[in-house]
Amino acid sequence: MEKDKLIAIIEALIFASDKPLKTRYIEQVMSIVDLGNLTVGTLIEELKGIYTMGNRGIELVEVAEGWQFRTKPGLAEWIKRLNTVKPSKLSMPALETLAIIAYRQPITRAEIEYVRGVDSGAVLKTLIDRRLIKIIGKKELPGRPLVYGTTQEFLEVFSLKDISALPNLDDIKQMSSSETELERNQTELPLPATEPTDEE
Amino acid sequence: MDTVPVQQDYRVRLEIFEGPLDLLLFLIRKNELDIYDIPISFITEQYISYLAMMRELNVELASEFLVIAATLLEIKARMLIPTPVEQEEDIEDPMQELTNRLLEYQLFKNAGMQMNNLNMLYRDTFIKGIQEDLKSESTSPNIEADVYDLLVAFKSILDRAKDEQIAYMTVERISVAQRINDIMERISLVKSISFDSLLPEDYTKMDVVVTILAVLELLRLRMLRCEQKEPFGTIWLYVHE
Repeated sequence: MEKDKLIAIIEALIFASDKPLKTRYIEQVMSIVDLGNLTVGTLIEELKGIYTMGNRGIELVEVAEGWQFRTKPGLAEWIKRLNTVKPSKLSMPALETLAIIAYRQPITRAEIEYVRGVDSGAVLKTLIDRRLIKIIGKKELPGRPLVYGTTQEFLEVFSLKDISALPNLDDIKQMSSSETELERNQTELPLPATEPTDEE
Repeated sequence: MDTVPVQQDYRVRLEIFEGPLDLLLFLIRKNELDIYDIPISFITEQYISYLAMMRELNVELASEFLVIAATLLEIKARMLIPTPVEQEEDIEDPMQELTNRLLEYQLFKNAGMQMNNLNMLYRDTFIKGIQEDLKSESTSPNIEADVYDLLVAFKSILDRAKDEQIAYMTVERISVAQRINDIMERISLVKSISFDSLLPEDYTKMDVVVTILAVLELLRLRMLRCEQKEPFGTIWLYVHE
């Protein structure tokens, strides 16, 4: 089979899937064809390149250990014009709690509260309701406290390939010690011009 | 219509400090102190005066703020009392512990900020499947009105209301409950309704009063929400989803 055809099949599979599609599922589907010296992995990379290089509005992203078509970040304001439902922002307490859990999972509520210095029950509930974290077990400690960890949705929401794709904590440590970036930069994306213009 | 009462001022300020560690970090940064070498006397004084200020503003302080205040005082006290040299090694240094906690808290605070910079789904990037919702695009009021705006709007309506004719002997009395039913009935048909249009053509003060009470009650019960597109603009009422 021609390479272009193979890439087209993969494109269709990913498009049709409503969740990030794992490479191994693509491999399963493709197992009936002879790929010759090609692999599903290289074909996906090629497909990804087509969207990255071309002047496309969508891109192929690896999230939550799968592949998914997503709109390019610079276009968010346009999509928000189509749908005025406000994206629910995460507050600073929610973000910092989520960071503690993401980097330190599995972690108990007491451990989270020791780091934050405040009661975190309400924040934890919010994060659970938003399915960004879940109870992943109990710790072998007196009282068998619950331990929390991040979810698949967490990876999807933060566009992470897997948990190791989080920003490197050592880099952040460096940044913290230089103590410059502490201003809260709520980066607001610039609004698009009132008249849609063609991209060159 | 500068309805920015004093309490809003400190509500914002309160939000800055998510906890005692956050407040301490703020004080360290504000005074350009070295986190590894905190002048304990100075920082304790600053910290306690902040707590006093917050209490003065009637901000409810979480007990955790007091725990850290006690820790600071303990450290300060220890520094004043000479420690026998042979014991020094065994004792856990509360100052060291506090520094470690501050560093760790700062680290995760920054990590949270870094995470906020990632491409977030439904904020920076989208997947297929969102539903278009264009109708509110051009007409949608986008400033949330608060009770004060509501009162101002009603005030202006009241001012416009004709003085009631003294000659009326029987005032047709509309109850608030009746008015609530009227409003909900009307709004259920049109989804949104402007404030002014709730009133009959030649309304009396009684109509206005009953209407404001009905609307306030509906807002309280979260059956309605109200928005205002611009200051002094029309206030729109919506069915609360």
